[in-house]
Amino acid sequence: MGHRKKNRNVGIVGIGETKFSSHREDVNQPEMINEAVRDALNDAGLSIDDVECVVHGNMELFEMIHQPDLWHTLGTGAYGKDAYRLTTGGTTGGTLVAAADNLVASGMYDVVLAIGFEKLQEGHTTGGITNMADPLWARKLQSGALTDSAAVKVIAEFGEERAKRAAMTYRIIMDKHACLNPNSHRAFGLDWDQMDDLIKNSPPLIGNLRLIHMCSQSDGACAMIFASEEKAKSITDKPVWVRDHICIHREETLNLCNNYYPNQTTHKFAAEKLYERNGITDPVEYFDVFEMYDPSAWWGMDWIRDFFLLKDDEHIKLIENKDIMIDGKIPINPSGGVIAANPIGATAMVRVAEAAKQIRGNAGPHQIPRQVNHALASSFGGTMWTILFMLEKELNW
Amino acid sequence: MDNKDKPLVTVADIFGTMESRVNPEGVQGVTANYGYIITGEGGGEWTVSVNNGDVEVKNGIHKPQVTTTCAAEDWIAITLGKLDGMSAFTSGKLKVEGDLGLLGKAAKFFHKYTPPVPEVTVADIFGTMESRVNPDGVKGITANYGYVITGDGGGEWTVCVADGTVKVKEGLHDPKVTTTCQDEDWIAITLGKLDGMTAFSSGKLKVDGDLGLLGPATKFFKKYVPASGMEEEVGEELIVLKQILSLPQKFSTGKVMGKFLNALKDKKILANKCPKCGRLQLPPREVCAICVVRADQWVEVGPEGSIATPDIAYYASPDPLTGESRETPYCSAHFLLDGCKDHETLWHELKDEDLPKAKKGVRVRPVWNEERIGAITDIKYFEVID
Repeated sequence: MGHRKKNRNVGIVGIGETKFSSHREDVNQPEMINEAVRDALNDAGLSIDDVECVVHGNMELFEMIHQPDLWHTLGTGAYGKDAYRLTTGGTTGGTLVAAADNLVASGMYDVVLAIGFEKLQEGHTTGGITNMADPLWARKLQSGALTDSAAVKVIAEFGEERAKRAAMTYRIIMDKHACLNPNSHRAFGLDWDQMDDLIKNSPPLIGNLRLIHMCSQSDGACAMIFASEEKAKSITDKPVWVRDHICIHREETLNLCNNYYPNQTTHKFAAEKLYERNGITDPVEYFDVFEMYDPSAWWGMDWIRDFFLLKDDEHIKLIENKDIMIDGKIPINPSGGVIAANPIGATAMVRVAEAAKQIRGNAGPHQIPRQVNHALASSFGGTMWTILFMLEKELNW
Repeated sequence: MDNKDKPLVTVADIFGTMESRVNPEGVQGVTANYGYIITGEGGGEWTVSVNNGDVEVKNGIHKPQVTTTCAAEDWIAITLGKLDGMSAFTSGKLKVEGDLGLLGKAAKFFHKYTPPVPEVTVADIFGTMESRVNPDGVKGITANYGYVITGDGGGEWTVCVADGTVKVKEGLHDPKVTTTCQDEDWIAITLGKLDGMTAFSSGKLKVDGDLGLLGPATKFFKKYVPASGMEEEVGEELIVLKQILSLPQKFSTGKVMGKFLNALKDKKILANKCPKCGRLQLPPREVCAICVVRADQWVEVGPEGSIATPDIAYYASPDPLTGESRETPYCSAHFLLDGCKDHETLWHELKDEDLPKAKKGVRVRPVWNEERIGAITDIKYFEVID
């Protein structure tokens, strides 16, 4: 791995989010983005004139608009500024943060604004994802992002009863978190007594993947402002430091015809490398919160093991014991996660934004009720792309 | 006006008005019975029978292909657009039994349900005017507008506009222009059901005095909303434009994929092999990504094999090649063809009739198309070997 230490420290100084929803007919795309941009600038106490560079991203296939950044300049305020545009599937929001982190760390810019958005109601999500498949073989076969593979794997390992209950426990926990977060797109108010009914009766999508397990299709935007250490300290007394990030992909091994090569090891691989170079030996102990890109309850519950380098059924126990709840040992997705809101190009950025808010202590009603010093956030995309971020309250590592 | 005692919107009214709200394009080509079990107070059971363009709504459940169960208050909220149908479905408030694929079509069967209009009175229209003033509309205007509304619910009013301020008084007070109209026509004009200009042209609405003052008057007030508040407040400038994309595309195969696709014409399935690790790739790729060497050896595999992973889709996802919703359920599966091992599977579809037999390890063979062009469709599907 050709990784070197950062040239200089980078702090998160501004965070903006829209409310996430299935219907934003009241605004066009630039107007929706503008809500998040203004929110982030207000949060940082900056004006758009203080921003030197804008990094903009979403998935063009979903809204079928080429170079949306041109139209969106109306809302981003990128007039005459250096600008970058990124699109990496579900990972997009994370790639935007990684790019902003690198742009500031390199010394190229002192203040960078990153913007992720999606207005999924204006396009066709499943159609868009299906068109990502190999055009020579797989388009006829792809069914969007829906697959039974995670459930099949977990059921084979832990048995049907335990696996299904653990997946639904994870789901109900996420909904309980979503109900606390005022920006949630979906917050149903699910309760434990619905467990058996949902396991049995939630409409099936594919195999064991049921509607209740799957993430939503949302509209919304997220904006974050990154600054060099010196600038960050002058802008805010509560900067959140991006200690490190790692970006791993296995595109080269992933046949777009989706043959089941064991390709999801990107999560584990990224976690191993990141912890090793930062001297983290017990991630469950070290981190105070984990904001995970969890596209479905089956994936979320399965991936905890990879991200925390757990063995056997340790991840299932974390769920069964409700250790991942907001007041538990290692809270996962106090925001409600991706199942609660999935404006795809913003989704992975929201994970970092929510993790940073937890460290600042001003997340709102879904603030973890104890001190948060160390946060982990993940990104994921259909191209088997994993980005992991480590955020810190103090500059003391 | 007091409508609190009697809810305007009832489940019975929603079903009762369905036949009058049929959208002919939406029901075209559909023949199925849709059952509805609406629970709780005000609920009941209905069947919507769609027979290729004809729609009949009956009481009770009559041989439905798909049955929706929902609480009365949720069904009303969904109908009025206050509860998202998909959210209700996801959270279990709305339950569906039977052919789920039929439900997607049902969304287009009917024109929007409009709740029965609450009793609108002329007095309420004038009484709410001061609260509905549009400041930009009255700016710079100073004039008294008289209104003589005839009929049982009528009366006389004067709208006094004085450069930005508006007072509505009963009786006629020195009007510069006076409008005379029947009570029911005035209500219809206010609700947008009768065009004011049409009423004027046809003599339903008469004007005495300075006609030129009437033009600006159309901008004096924000929209009148009947007291039940059913109408959503949506800015008139917000439009949602609809577009459907249809893009003809063509893709070059390259030599490696070309060889694989060409072989399908002869009913042969070819994999290529990594010279270093020996693994097969199906469909083939130019390079083994694990060893990073050119995969230049070819092996014929199958055509028979077994099911490795069946993905049974119950959700009516669109066929990306046509944009139409697919019939569900269907099964796309990864097949382990003879001569392959582990993850060296081929992705294709299983015959619909074999869905109940879709299990790991079940033996299958390809069913070839008569006409083969070197495409995935050269294999119709795989079928179970009994």
